[in-house]
Amino acid sequence: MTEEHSTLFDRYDIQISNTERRNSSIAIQDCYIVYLIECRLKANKEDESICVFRRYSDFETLRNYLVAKYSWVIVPVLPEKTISHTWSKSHQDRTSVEVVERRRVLLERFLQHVCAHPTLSADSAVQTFLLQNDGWKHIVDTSHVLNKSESLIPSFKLNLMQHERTKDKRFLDAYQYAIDLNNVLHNVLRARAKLADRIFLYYQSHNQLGRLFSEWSTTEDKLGDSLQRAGHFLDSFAGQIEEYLHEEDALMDFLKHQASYCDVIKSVVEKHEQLVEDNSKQETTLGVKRTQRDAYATGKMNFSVNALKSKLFGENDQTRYAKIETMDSDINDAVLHCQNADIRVKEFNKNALIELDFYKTMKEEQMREILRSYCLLQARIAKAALKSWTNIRDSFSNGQTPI
Amino acid sequence: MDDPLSRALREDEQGISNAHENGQSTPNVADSDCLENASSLSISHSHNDWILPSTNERREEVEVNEEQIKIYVGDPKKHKSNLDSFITYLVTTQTYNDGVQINETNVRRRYNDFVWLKNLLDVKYPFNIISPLPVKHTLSKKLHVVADDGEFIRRRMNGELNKTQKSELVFHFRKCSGLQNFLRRIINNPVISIDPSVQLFLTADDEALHSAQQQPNPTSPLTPQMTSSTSNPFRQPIGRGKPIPSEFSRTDNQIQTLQDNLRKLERLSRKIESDQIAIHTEEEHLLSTFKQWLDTERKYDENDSLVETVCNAEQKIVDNQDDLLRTTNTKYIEPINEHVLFTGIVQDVLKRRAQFSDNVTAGNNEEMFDQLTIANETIKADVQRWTEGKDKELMDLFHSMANKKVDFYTQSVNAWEQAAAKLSTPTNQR
Repeated sequence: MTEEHSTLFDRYDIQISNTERRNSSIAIQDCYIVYLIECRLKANKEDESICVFRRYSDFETLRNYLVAKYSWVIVPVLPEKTISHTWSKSHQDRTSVEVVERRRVLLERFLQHVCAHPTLSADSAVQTFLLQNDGWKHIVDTSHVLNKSESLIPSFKLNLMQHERTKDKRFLDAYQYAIDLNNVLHNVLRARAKLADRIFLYYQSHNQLGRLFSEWSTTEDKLGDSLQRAGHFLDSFAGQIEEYLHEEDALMDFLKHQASYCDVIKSVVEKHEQLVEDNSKQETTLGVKRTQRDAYATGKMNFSVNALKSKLFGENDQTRYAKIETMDSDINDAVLHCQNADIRVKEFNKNALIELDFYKTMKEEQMREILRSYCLLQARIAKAALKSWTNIRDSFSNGQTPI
Repeated sequence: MDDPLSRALREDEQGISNAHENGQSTPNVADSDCLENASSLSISHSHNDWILPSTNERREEVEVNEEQIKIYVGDPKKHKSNLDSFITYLVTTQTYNDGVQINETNVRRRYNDFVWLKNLLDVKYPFNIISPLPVKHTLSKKLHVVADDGEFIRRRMNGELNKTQKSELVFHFRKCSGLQNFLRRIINNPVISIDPSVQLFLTADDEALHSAQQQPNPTSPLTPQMTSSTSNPFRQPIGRGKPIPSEFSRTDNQIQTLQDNLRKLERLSRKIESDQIAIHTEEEHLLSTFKQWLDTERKYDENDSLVETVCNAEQKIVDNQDDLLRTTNTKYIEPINEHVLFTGIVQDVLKRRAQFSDNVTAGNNEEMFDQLTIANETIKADVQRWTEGKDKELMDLFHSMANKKVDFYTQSVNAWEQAAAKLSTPTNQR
């Protein structure tokens, strides 16, 4: 029993251990990166690990499939397709070593989260994606999930919210929060990128200052010694910052990751909206059918066409009863539809709310980690600067005795 | 610790004077006093070796049996008279003997009074290096608004337009330290400090000062022929076989190099300051986005403690940066500018000497030859005093600037480490 309920994550160690550059054609520019996924059974470490190569678009396809099929699930997000909010132009090149590495980390995280999710990890497409070379694409294609017009058009989404069909505050709040949080996080990311630019320029200026001091020291007598030492420390100060800024950039990836989840939340709520609307449509239809049938049965029909019909074709009681029976069975069908729609909504809501709660806890943990890492990084940057400036200051101290 | 020591040495530099109002020492021991001044620092070192140092007493023990004069310039106030309005500064002169204050004089002087004194001294002591005065207007400040950003201009303009009155007064506070340095360096020079005009400036009431200012300017020891020829910038100071000129031309080159370096330093420092201001603007912006984030979390009853921690840390950083920036210009850039001006003055003195020397050779006058010898000696002594002063002042300047940065980064480290510590404790919500 436990075997069936365990997730892929429980059973396997999953890693993206390596990356490779491949060419899709002879042209040099047509290259892409593949990621090597390794899965090794936890139970038996001696076993060889199963290896597959996947590229980014494969991940995308898999994820779209999962989103469409399990619409109440908050499916883990992928790293961004195009680099945004970066401080250095060099990171625009998506095949550079650093960028690939950052992506690798986030793709690994994606896989691990998917495999830890009980519903998602049970999906056959996911399992074949990880454990077999081919076959997953076939599963995805034949599921027809991606072709369904379940995917909502943007304008349609907006209309849903405006009509406020759901009175469910939890979903409304989640939606609004997702929108606001997304905005706010992007503002933070933008501001940080600009700040990083400025900081870099500031440190560069100190390079020039160090050079000036070094040159000046050659023409000074007593001051020369201090100037030379200070110049040396200024150079080392100026050189510190680039590495830290790259590290900060990589850290921002995780913040962007969090922002992406906001979009996922939004689509889950939109799906909820759609189901609720569906449900109410069914109910409306049912109501209409019932009214019609009752009206027909009691003979209170005022439609001149039907009155004419019955006179022309000589309706008798038999045909009337037959008609009422058809309508009744129709109504029964509609009742069934309604019940189904109702169940669907309830099921969806129940699961979606579980997902939302789970997401909240996870988000808080991750945010804590991100913010903590940010603070630690800033502390390290300040510490390194402190060390340099202490040395610079001490080059100019008059005392000959060391402290 | 280094700081008290350098501070003490600085006090020595500005306060040591063998002349004071009682007129203890006479002018003809001026030269030997100079030498004693130059080496008094080494004496004070050895004093400190066997006298147990304690921060407060050190100063007085160094000054045993010596008079000390301290000058303070401050308290700028606006005066409106019938004809015009101007600012006056309070000039306080305190005399100490063995660390005990025995006299204090307070007078009010305006900028023009300082200019009068400087011009007088320039003429009377052409071969002495006399400290520059701070500039009268803020023109130099506006010139370096090198806008690389619309935000930068906007910010400065907003700051200045809203507080024109306040910034004027701030500017005058800054001038105080320049005026103070001017007077302190004059007092430091044993020959000039006993000049009656200096005494008049420091102690006389307004009427006495005004009447002194009305009198015709004292004649220069240089003949008119020489004073006019010093204004010719194109005459080259060529040495005519005398042994001294080569030494002075070496000095001249050194001064020129120093001036170039100081100019570069000033330019670079201004650039760094504007870089710093740009950073500050962006940090403030980042802080506001963090605050927006905090508001969002609060609006939806989410856990706001995480973001709040980061907000607080960032706020501290922004505040500290503000403090640091406020003093960068006055405490660092303007003193450098002052030193640039100072090198210009030294160059002028050397030029004057060179002209005089040429004229002496041409004139072949015995008396003038003696004057030249005296002039050369005066200049040598003054240059040495000036060089030592400059070395010390620059060291102190760089030291204090770096120290401010050290303080800033120390505070930053603390703020971020505290925040990180707060963020590692798990929430109670689990």
